[in-house]
Amino acid sequence: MRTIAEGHLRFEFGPEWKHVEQWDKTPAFKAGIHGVDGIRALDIIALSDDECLLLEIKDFRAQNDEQASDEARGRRAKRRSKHAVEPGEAEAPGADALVEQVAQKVAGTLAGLVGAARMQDTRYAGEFARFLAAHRSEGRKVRVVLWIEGEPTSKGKSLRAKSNLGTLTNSLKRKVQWLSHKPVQVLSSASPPTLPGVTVTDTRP
Amino acid sequence: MTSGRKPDERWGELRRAHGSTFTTAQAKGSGISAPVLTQAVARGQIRRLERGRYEFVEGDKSASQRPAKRRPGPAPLKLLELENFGVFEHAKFEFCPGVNVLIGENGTGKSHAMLAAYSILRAFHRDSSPRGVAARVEEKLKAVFKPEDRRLGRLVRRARGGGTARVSVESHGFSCEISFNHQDPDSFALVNLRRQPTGSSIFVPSRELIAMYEGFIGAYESFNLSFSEVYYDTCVALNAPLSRGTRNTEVQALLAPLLDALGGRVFEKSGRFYVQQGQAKLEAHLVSEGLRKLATIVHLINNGSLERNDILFWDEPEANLNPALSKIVVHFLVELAKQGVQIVLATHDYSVTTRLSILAENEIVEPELIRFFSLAKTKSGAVEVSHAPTLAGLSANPILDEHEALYDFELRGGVA
Repeated sequence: MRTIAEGHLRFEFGPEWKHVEQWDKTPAFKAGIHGVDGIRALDIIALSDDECLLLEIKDFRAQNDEQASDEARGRRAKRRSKHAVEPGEAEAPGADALVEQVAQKVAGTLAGLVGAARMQDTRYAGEFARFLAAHRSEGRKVRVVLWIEGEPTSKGKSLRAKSNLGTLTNSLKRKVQWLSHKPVQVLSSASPPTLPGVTVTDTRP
Repeated sequence: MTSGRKPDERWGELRRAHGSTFTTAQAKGSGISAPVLTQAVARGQIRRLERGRYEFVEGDKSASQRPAKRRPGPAPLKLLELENFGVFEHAKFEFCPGVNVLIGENGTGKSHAMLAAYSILRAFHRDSSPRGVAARVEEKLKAVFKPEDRRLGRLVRRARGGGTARVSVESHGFSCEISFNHQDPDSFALVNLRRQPTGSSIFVPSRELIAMYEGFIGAYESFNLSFSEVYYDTCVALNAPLSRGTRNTEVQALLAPLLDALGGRVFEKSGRFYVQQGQAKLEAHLVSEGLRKLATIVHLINNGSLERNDILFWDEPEANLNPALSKIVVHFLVELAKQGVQIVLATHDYSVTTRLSILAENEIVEPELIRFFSLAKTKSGAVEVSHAPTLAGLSANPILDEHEALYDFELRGGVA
């Protein structure tokens, strides 16, 4: 069992997951492809015998709160939450930009894993790379997941929040179809999440 | 008085008096009314040559001798190629045997592509016409597309290198290519004909039919109506008598969800359609327009006009239909395809397309059962066609683009 905390969210991975890594915090990433300008990495990668999970987390709730607070004071929102908005961004990205970020991180993560396997002889990176290279021919699954909290169009309260997740799901499928279109998921703890073998807990007070 | 005679005697008298071709008035003189003529057309006993003029189908002497509808093996539409036709400079549709979904903005030629394939296939529906296949296909295109002054040249894309339109259709054991020039009205040519298509084609237009059905066939035959002939064809198909006996369990299971949505069975009486809802008999025009389209499909299946090996062209099944019913439509489309009916549909609907794609992505259906086609305008104004097994694989998807735009619109608090 491996537990990873990302902001207020806690992801508990069951025993079927052989490798679970906070990829953007690993030495393999930092010493490897991180040095290449423009390359970005996913938050969590996990590998079981028959599935590779590529997980990106976006928590817009703090930003929503800040925005609401600023708006209540009659000011434009200035500060942005760490987990929601990327460096250099002034506000929450639109649908296409948001899924484009995730798609770039998927590509950057795959490139980083292959590089780590070749150049650093990192054992788990080699296993990921082999799995990803052969998953189609071996009929194994790559699951790309964007986990969103406080869906930004409506601060998570819109009646359309659920259908907005559907829109993002379809957009993300389009961006990562070169790798996998089944399954691609955009999940949130507000909608019944189904991430097999993973328990997600929200620790936000 | 002719009413005391048997139907076969009336047909015999008509044939003896007027030979193989006759008019509506001559038929009436032999005691054969316009509705009976229409039913005979639907049965394949006679063929309509032009407004008010018919001919006997070769070899059809009586009902008992009528050949059964040909139903050889699977006959999906395999290929449609359009060159300088409408908005297409060169477009190729490689269809799957199951559900083929055409998406694209308005004006990208979805309906035109379907009508082109339908016109050619339908022109062969009843064979052995003395007029020849080229004349029949030409006439069918004119009747379906209704170009001004009946000039097919108006369908030619007039761009650089244009001037001649070509349309090729290939299906199981059948191929046909036609061409025509935009200037010369006598340029129509049919080449590369190989055998006859198998199965028949039904086109369900975006406007519903069963409410307008009453009197439409007679009116279409008697007056110069501006409706495309697909309306007439499909009304004639609706007019066919119900198949005898209980439909098999597969068909019953297929129709059950549609009948649930309709709230009862569909039937025709004295030239008018009704939906029986419990004890109440509701005239078709009192049923909502979206449901009437479902009723049309139900009746076409019930009367045997749409069955295994046939092709269903369905333009915007979602039109006027509550989105909640889209799951029923999708389930029905998939089940119909599994039963051997090939489907080509044009749609703008997010729910219908996404549901079908999810079934394909998760391999709930066979890989070749669903295929998506994207029709998108290029900078030159011509339309390009691409296809993929799922929505995600399409190079252009205006439905999803609009949903993304809606997401962004909401994100910006309603500021464009």
